Amino acid sequence: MRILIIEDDTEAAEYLRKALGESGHTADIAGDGDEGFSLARDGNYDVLIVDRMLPKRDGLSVLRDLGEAMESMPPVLILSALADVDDRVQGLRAGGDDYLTKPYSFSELLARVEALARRPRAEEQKTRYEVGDLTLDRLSHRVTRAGQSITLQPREFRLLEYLMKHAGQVVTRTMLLENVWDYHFDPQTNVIDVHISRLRAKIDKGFDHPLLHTVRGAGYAIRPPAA
Amino acid sequence: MLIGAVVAALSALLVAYAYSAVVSELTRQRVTALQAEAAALATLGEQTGPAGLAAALTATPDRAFRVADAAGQTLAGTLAAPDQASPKSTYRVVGQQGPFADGTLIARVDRELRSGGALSLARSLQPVAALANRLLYSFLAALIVLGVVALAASYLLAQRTARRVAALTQESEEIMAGDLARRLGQSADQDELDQLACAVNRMLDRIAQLMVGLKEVSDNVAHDLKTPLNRMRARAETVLRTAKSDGELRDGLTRTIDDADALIRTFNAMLLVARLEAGAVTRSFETFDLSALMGDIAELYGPLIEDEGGTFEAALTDGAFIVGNRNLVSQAVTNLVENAVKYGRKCNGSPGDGLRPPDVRLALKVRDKRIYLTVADRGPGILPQHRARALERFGRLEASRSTNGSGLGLSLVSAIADLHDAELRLEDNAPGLAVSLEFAATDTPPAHAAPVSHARERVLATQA
Repeated sequence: MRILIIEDDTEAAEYLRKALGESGHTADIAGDGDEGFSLARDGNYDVLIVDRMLPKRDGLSVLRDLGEAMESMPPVLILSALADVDDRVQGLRAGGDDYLTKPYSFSELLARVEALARRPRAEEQKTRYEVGDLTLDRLSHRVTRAGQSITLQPREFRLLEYLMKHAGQVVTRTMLLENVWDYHFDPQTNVIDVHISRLRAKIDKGFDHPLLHTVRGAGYAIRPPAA
Repeated sequence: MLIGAVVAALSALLVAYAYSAVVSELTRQRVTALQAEAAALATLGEQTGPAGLAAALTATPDRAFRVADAAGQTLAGTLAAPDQASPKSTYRVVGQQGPFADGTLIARVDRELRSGGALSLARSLQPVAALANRLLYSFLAALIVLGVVALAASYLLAQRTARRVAALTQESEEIMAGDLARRLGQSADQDELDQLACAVNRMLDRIAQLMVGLKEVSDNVAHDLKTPLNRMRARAETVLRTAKSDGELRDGLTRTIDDADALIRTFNAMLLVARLEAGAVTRSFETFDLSALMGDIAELYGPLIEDEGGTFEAALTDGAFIVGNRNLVSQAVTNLVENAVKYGRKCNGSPGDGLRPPDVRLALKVRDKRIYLTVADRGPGILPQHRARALERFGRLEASRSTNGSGLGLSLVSAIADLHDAELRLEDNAPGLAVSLEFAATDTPPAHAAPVSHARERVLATQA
């Protein structure tokens, strides 16, 4: 995957490039808003990582200009030291697809970048997800595993839906909290783990191969058993 | 300067008008009196003839006359013959005439007698002019006195204002130089300057209050951030010195990152409390459904508590709407619930048996336009004398020093409550702690309805 990092802190940007490289992605670095704009416009990247506060031109205005200059813009992850909900709304309104507050952990950033890159476009949203022998139908709200129907609470359904939409990718606890519960702050208890383990008891218990995996130090992933 | 000139010019115009009005009125009276006298004398002249009239009349220093016969010859008197070309009642004497000196202004009446002959009577207008002049001089004198008094008064007033502004400036300089306890002085008049000084003083009070908050924050930062930072540093150093294997190094680094995360959380919470207390977050207020928010939180935390073996109960009234920031309110309630989970455990007394799992109860009631939100646990509670301390920043009670947490939970709730004009109360749950928030209910449900996904969920929930 080709990623452009628009960030003026060279040390942080270099660290990000290395870490993304280790995860199998190639990343370029733009040190200010102007350079970031021209690289992003001509560079054919899969994901942009944009810092809000940049020299010469701030991140949000770069995004606005890119939106006008490009026919289809790659998904954008905004990095910012500004953590208010209002700031987040501002960032998403300016054309960001996801928002991450500094300081962040690399595993959080990686999970979000990968989720963004494989995000289906709105018109190709599937009505049915399949992972191994687990299926979820978004229209009839039915979940089955190996032909057996599984009853889920509404929130469990949304949790599973989000996990299956990102099947094969790591999904962090914060991503779940934001996308399934719409909370934008970190709880200090293992509240998400409890819901995951309840979901796991319903979809994995009694079957040979577990589908819902815990990724240590990062989050969770749902994926088919390795063939 | 300009105003002075305008006032002077207006005064001059006024005096000139008054002068001419007085002169013309007095002149008119003199002429009228003279006409009456001439009419009376003419009647006499009808009976006695011009000669008789001439004999009867005598000149006074103030009055002159002329009596002529039918042929126009002067019979008596010192006045000149009337000027037929331009008869008028007043004019200036040319040359010496009777008692009048050259150039004297006189009032004069000329009459033909029906029995033949003519009568002219004249009086000096000198007394009129004298009176008008006296009037003019007293006017001018009054004006000059008034002008001087006005100038002096405005000078004194300006001096006084300048002195007070200078005093205020001086006081402001001293406050800026660091004497922050000082306030601007006020006079007894309660004029505009005093109102300004009063407003500035109130502003200084508010600044002082914020400064105290800031100082508290920095003191606490010094204490409560330095301690974990120091611990983190010591731990990293120990690992570096003693680790024998990669695995041990890895564990050490992982723990260091956990410590850093905890520090970041504390720091974020501190910043948020400080921003909330400065009142910076009111622009994003909207009407929202507090019942739905509480329902979501119950749904999120219920399983957590039940999995630990505790009991969880939610008694929520539907349709409670408030105006506020939805995200902040859910953060406040979440904090309360997490506190209840953390501190709501209780020693059950029996020896060897550790802590009992938490029992948590959520309640939402609406009564008389007020909404009462309660989060209650069955833990050790907080003694009445410690309750105020528990709301302060970093106000962790000694008993809880051993558990994790920044100690900012309740002060964050308190700051969010203040922002929403909600009353935060810590009460005895007998046993345990009941934290309640009292909000003002709003009548208007949000203009935009709840998201479709939510609505669908509720339907599903009732089907399940």
